[in-house]
Amino acid sequence: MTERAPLGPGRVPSQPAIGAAELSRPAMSAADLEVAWSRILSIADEAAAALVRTAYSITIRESKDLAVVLFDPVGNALAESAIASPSFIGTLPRTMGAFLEWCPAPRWQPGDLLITNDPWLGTGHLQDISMAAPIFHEGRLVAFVAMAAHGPDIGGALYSAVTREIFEEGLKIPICRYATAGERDPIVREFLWNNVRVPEKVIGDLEAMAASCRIAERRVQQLVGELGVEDFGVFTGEILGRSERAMREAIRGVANGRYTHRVWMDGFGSPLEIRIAVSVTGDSVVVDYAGTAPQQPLGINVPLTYTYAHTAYPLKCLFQPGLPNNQGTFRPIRVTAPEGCLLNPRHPAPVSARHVTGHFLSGAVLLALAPALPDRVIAESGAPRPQFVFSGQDARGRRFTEHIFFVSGLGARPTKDGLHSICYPTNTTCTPVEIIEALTPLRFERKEILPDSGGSGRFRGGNGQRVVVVNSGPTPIRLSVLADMTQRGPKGIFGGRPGTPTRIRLNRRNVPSKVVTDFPPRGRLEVETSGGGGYGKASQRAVDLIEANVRDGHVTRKDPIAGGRPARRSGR
Amino acid sequence: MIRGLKAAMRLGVDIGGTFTDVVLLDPRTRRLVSGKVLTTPDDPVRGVLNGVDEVMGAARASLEDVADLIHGTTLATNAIIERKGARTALLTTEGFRDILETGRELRYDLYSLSLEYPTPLVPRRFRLGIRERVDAEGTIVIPLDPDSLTPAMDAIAAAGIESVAVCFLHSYANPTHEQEAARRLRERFPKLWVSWSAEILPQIGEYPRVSTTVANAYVQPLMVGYLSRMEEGLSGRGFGGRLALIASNGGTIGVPEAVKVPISLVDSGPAAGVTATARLGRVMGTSDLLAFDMGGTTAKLCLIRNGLPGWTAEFEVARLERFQRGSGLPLAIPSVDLIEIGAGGGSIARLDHLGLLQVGPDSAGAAPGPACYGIGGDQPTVTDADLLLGFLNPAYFCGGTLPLDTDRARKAIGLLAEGLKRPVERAAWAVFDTVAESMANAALVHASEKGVDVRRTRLLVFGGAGPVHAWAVASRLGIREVIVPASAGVLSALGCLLAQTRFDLMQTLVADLDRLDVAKLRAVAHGLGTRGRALLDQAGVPARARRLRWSLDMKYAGQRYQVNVPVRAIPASAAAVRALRRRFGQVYRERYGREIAGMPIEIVTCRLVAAGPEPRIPVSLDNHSAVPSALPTVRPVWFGGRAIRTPVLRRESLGPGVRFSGPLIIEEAGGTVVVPPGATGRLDRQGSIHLTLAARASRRGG
Repeated sequence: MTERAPLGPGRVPSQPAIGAAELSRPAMSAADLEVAWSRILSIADEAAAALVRTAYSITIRESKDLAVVLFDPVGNALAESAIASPSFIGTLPRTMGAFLEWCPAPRWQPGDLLITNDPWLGTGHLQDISMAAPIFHEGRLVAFVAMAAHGPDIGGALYSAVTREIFEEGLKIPICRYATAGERDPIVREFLWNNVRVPEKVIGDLEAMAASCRIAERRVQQLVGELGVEDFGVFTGEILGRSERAMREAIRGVANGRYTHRVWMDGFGSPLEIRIAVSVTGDSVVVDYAGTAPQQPLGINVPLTYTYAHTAYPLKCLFQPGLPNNQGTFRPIRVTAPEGCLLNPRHPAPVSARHVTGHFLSGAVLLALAPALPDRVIAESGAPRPQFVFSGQDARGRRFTEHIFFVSGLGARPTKDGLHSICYPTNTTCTPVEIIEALTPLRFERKEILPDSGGSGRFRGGNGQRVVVVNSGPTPIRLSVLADMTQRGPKGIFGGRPGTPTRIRLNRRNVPSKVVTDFPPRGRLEVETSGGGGYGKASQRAVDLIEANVRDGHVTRKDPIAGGRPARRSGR
Repeated sequence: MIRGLKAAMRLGVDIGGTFTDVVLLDPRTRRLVSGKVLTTPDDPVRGVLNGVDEVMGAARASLEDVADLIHGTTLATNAIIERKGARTALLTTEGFRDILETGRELRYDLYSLSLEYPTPLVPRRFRLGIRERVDAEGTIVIPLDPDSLTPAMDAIAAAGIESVAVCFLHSYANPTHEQEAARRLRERFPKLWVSWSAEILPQIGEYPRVSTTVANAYVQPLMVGYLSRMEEGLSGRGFGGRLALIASNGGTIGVPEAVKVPISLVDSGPAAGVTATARLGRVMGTSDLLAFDMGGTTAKLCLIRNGLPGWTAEFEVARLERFQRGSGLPLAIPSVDLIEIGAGGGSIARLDHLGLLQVGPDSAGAAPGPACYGIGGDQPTVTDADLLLGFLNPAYFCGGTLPLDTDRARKAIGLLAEGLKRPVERAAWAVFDTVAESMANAALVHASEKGVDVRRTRLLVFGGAGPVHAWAVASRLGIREVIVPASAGVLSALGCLLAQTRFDLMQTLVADLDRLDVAKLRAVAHGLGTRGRALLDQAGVPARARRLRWSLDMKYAGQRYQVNVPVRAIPASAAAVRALRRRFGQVYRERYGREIAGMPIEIVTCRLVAAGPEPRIPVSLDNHSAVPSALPTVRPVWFGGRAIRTPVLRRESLGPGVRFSGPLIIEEAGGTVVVPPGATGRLDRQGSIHLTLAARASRRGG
């Protein structure tokens, strides 16, 4: 495991994507640049809005599990949609690089659509399909648009973490042409059609993505038409340069050093270690995961693309939260992990629940950098949020499969408490209880903030929640649990206490965090999600915050460390 | 109510953040008299009465002759934003009291680790769980336990609660528990205000329903006090007509309904402006419009299709991040679907840490105001840029009542110019350009979400700053025709007079189309129809003038989003159900481009719009008396990189039918219309200015 596969944002040149002739031109004025920049961001938003509007998949339309990214002709990410999953934002540049390697830029023609769901090139598991299309202006390749979206189905067994090889997880689509010059490839379509449960929806979503590509294409052509091809090149070079400079400047503000940390996850039976070393040298960051547990015969392995995405994401939050994201912000960040480890597994490792592991990385990055950036990092959050797949029949005999997440508490922050029950580090919305109950025989007895679950500290971690669900139907429901963080709580920092671990119980008995089991009629599933870790010593907590917590029942008097000895009022 | 011809005068009032606009319509003279007075935020009633006095005085008319006064107000919105509402408690199904706080569990800003949400209107200690349970079918699973109500009521008494919201799970399917709890509350506390969710919003989805019900309870005592002071003040002046309000859906409602559901008044001012736009568009024979309202602080955009404004079942108030979706409190009340962006005359321009020009979203407002107001502001704003570019006349801003200081504007924009390393007029142009771009981008994304090609619409513009910027926004959007109606400055007040009485009623019933219980559906519809007719009766709408519009929110089984399917009548036969299936497919295809064959279909919510007739539109909306045309003056105006000697006319000097071409500036007290080079224009009989932009309008301004 000594071999390292360094991964930047994608296999693309790290120079600005403009030729020497264009480099010698004077830079654009700041005003023109701002106008064009806000335009290209709104193009990505417009394409994303169109995809949300036309997709079949509920995870696209409701949870907004997608991202649209525009690229320059050599594969530098230029702009991403505001509606976007942090995972896909990080994986798409890499996927675009792979598309360009498979089909070099000169060989693309208008109307081409390339797709893949290869976890190692795409989003880390088979459930999402990535697509890219070239954008030509007056015969010249000027840009690419690429997007990734969670599909309605990809075949394979019931979605779970307990797979042993990727072959159980569904159909793998190698990079291929979904369309050549606008003509759909019938063979590709047939393969897809014959291997998924809801082919009309899967193809429908691909068509929705294709339509969204066309919207981006038209808008980019319009922009290029207005700016001229030369100025468009100047513009893209300029925004990449500016974002990169701003990111590097922010990194330069961090003391050079190698910041290490280790976090443990449940694994399956015995705990697994994630080791992180964040090396800050001048204006760049290298994150290495050497020493991390080896890959597992369980679908929790994380292809390096996804490892990169969830490592770069917290760095962006720390360094430049307000800056539009593009290749420039990714360039100073390198991520390495030994081949064959949990965070860089070899094919055919199972990867379906790669997010269960991947969601730990954000916490690891923040915890590692805590000594360097005490006023910016937050304590560890309740991540991953436990996920449950319920599959069965309702009283009328209608089949249903529902993916339900119960979110946890956010880690405490340098100047305030963590948020209660919020989605982090990913960002999907919850399904209303009334809607779940209308669609399935599940009945909720409780869904409430769990008092005392956030770690105490000068600032408390956000509380998790307590959810109780009953199978009110006449038949058993297949239940797949994709969770972790059941053996320890999210860590506190600077003396803050940890939050509580996630607890999952079925009929009063603990359930492993990764399992497929029966949820019998009248069965009772109780879930307590983790609270976030605390920040700073509880003895320093302001007395008015303690009083407010107790008054509102977010902290009960039972809590032995409800805040320790009150030191002072807040705001002083 | 209407006491013969003599009493047919009507008053429209829009209470805005800075100004209260009043419009009097006298059908005898077909004249419009308008006035603008300062809003009195401590008690808006005073400002309304001042404005009414001023306008009645100017018209030499008496309030006794006014048949109705219709007004829009942001009071309910402000009460929520400023947390000035009542001490409120919430009764929920036991185990679900935190839904109000955890909401959608979504982060509205992906990269901010320090994001915050608005504090819930009811603190956790006043969110009280009650033992009861109803399932999705409406079946009672656990009967309401009176013993669990008692401690809740004791807590309400002890805490001095003024208003209570009751929201139980699935109450849309069976409201008896909510009704019972409300009855017991009123029994014990006769003076307590009680809002129950199945009455406010009988719709599936617990978070928007509880959020809306709580907001209703929160503003109710305040709104009731406001309305009774308004009634008193008006009747003291001899007003004996009907007092009505504009609701967020753009229709009017009477005081009794407003007292019951005051939350439906949120954001009613902008809704009135959009209503006016839609009506004007239909009068002009233009059914597809983009309404563009640009004032001092924000710009609002609304798509109007087939003569009707876009409609949304949910919007947000009190956003913490002003223009960030998700950072506010959701209210699921039917409302005009408009987007608001932080781009107005007072928007401040600056260079950000990347050296890029940013305009807004913060605004210099009325105080300290743009630099050129000379009342303390020194930051460069959009109005300062407009002045330096020659669009505005320093001696005739607001009809000359607010002289502008060009030197101060030059100094403020000069700071930007240094940073941008360009001459001051170029910097001013950059500000103008940037703000137009951000409005156009917002419009494009909005239109794309609605599946509309904006190029096929016309831009109808109003608000103080709108007519200066309209052409630049239109040319970016590929819109060729811009309409500036007469009275563009008081269009929202005028809109109050063009709105129809309207009640939006709904009831969720989740029903499978394949196994549709027609009798059940018709029972639900019957209930809605009875309520709708009673409300219209109460509002004085005669039976023959009633308009009932039915629609059904439908979806494919397993989907969670719905489309609204208008229907002529609620289906009563198997054939009608088949027709409904086809109609759903058609609507779905229009929206999403395709149908999903073989997928079961469900009805989720039955909706009824119960409306009165549309008020007649006066022949002329023009409140100008024509004056003999004066010779135009000429001043240099910057269009992009160069100054062009541009003629300047007074609006009053233009008669109906007159044609003109750009470059040209048309000034009036209420605003300035900029006609760019290459554009042509005309004035129609309603007093509206129509601009046609050159086919290839210069986008980047040379």
